[in-house]
Amino acid sequence: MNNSEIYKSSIIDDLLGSTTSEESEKIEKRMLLAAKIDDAIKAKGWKNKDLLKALNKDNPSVVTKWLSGTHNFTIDTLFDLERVLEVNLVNLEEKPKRTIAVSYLHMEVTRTVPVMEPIFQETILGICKSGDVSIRLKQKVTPLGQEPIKSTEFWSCISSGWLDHSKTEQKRFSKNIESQLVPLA
Amino acid sequence: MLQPYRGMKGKLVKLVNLSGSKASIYSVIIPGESVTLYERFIQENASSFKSELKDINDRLKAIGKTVGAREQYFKLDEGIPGDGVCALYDDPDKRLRLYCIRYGTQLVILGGGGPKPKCIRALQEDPKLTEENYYLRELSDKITERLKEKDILFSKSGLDFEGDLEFNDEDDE
Repeated sequence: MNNSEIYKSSIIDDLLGSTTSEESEKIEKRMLLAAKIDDAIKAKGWKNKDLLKALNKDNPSVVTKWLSGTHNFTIDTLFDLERVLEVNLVNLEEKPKRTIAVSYLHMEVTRTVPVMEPIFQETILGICKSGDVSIRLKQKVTPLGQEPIKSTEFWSCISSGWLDHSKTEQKRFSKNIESQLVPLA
Repeated sequence: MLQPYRGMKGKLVKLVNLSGSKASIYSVIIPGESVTLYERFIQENASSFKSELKDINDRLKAIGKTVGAREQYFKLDEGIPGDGVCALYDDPDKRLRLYCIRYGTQLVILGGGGPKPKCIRALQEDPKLTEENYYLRELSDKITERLKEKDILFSKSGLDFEGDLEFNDEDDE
């Protein structure tokens, strides 16, 4: 079976080279934003006309333009879309970066993660909350290339909290985590 | 001076500059020509519509490398029902139209196009757009035939065509 012929074009390269990286990034972000809006419409089980109705608009070509990845949205339009689609399009909250250390068994993992973001990568096992901090604990943890540990072993592993907290705060945080750990059904 | 092309001849090639992990962007080389239909489209419009071309080119690159060929980025149904012939979305206040054939979100074949005259209601009123559009309709028809005959297959990843990607007037008759 023949494979398709690869073709490298200097004409296309020249054209790509004539655009600044800022312009290209803007075009790409507009397309990503349009994709996010389209996903949000589908997630609600809506058609484009439902979005129009929710926004009290009647011209279908408006939505087509929004979804085309070429539209330069006003902030007000994005706020309206956020409201009706119940999705975050404009992120106004600054998430402080904090360092968290969680040691378990013979491993110690130190990562810099934004607050509220998941630390681990696999199946969600439970969620702990401590004040405004929420951590999702996941079953198959493979940090530092180690073998996944089992959930039963995982429960007793947590021993420390935020590194930039004092030792006392870290201990309190750890106790909080352990006491508030709620396994998912 | 570029000569107009006639008949259903051409070879599908993958444009490596625009293709990526999200979609493969193909175009067609007509026998006797040194450039693909898409490059020809760039050359034909470079002097009058440079900024629109840059935008189109960057959008195609984003489709290949970042976002995939989602339906929303195209103006669908520019051919006959089910043949996949479409155009890259063009705003009413933009002038350039680029025709393509879309196969799901992972494969796009770029054809040619040209400026859309503001006074026309159907593409058939403009000879250049008609020629470019009808070429792709015919190409789509030939590809469909070969897909049915398994002379062309989609690769396992869905990102490529495999098989006989060269077309001549006499083929498939």
